[in-house]
Amino acid sequence: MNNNAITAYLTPEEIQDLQGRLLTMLGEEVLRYTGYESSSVQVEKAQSLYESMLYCITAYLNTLPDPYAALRALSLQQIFFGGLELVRQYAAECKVLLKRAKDTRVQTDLIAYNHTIDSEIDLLLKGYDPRFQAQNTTALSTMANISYPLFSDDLSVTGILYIRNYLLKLIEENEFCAGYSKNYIRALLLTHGVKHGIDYRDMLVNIKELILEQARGDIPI
Amino acid sequence: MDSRLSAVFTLDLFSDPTAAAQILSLNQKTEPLGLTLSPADVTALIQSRAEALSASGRIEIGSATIGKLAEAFSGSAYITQQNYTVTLQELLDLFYAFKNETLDLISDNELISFMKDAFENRCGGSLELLSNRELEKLAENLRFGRENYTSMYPEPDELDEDEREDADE
Repeated sequence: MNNNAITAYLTPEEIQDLQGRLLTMLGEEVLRYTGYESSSVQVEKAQSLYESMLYCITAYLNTLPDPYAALRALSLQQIFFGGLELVRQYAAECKVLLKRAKDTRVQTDLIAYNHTIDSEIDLLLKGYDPRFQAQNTTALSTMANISYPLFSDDLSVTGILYIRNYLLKLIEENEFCAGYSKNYIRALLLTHGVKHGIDYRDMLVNIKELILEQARGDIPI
Repeated sequence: MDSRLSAVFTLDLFSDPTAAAQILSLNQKTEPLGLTLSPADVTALIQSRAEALSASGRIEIGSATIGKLAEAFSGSAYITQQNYTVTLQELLDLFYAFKNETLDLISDNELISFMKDAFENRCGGSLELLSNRELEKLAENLRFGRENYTSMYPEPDELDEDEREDADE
């Protein structure tokens, strides 16, 4: 569900009505964010709260076969709270996925890989605010602050959906790499490091990609 | 649908359409004190609020601040019917500016209470002193995380290890 699709499937009057309802909800979110102790916030904060609301709403609508029918049939509050609950479930699911990633981890001394699994994702999940910053995975960025590159990363998603996606793919890659010995993987990394004149432990490379390159004959060991 | 707030809404839409009537109703409380606002005064205040919000880069839900300031300051010994509206306009400017300067670490009610107390008891009715001395100090205290943030003389800041070494030298 994206901007072009919305304008294609909803009439201008429906879009205007939708925006009016979003406005009302945003006002409530601002007050809730300030704990009802302040009736004003900086415009940037209001923008961020607005994007967080849209993130939850879009997350929910994207699970439905006909999101446009839902927009007509359900109240925006129902959709938003449905999305918020979904985002919270994803956050809880990510904790389980992280454990699975640790259980299936590749035995390697590649620093980026270990740092991502042992600390980065955990920090991101701890700092995640599904209510007021659903679209962010750090206070400073809309992208997860993750060092280890995936073989195939979907950068079109942000927030908790990105982390969830990342972990699912990481587990998949771990299971692929489980078919190769620790020494074989180390040899691949070492060769790659020598080729590029750097300590292989410091490299930002994807292990599965190296394995596939070697299988194609691109990396002679 | 554009996710940029400014592209979707005129932020003034958050204002309360009944604000003018609510502010005028305060005259019932302030008239015994010799202070009233005319409909033209209220219009000017609402316009000032909009300009102050725009200048400070803020949006407000509803329009309660004008009424809160009017109620808080109507008992002031330094406000007369002649300077009532213009003083409220300046107080609105200060309020929103210092919500920013204090990083939103202080609630609306507490900030208004501080402003009234300082204006009345330490500034002799001077908005300049209120702004440049009292509110500046409050903002500094809050930004540095000092516990006694409403005091002009809060406890000394805790030095970190490097600062302690420099101090010892």
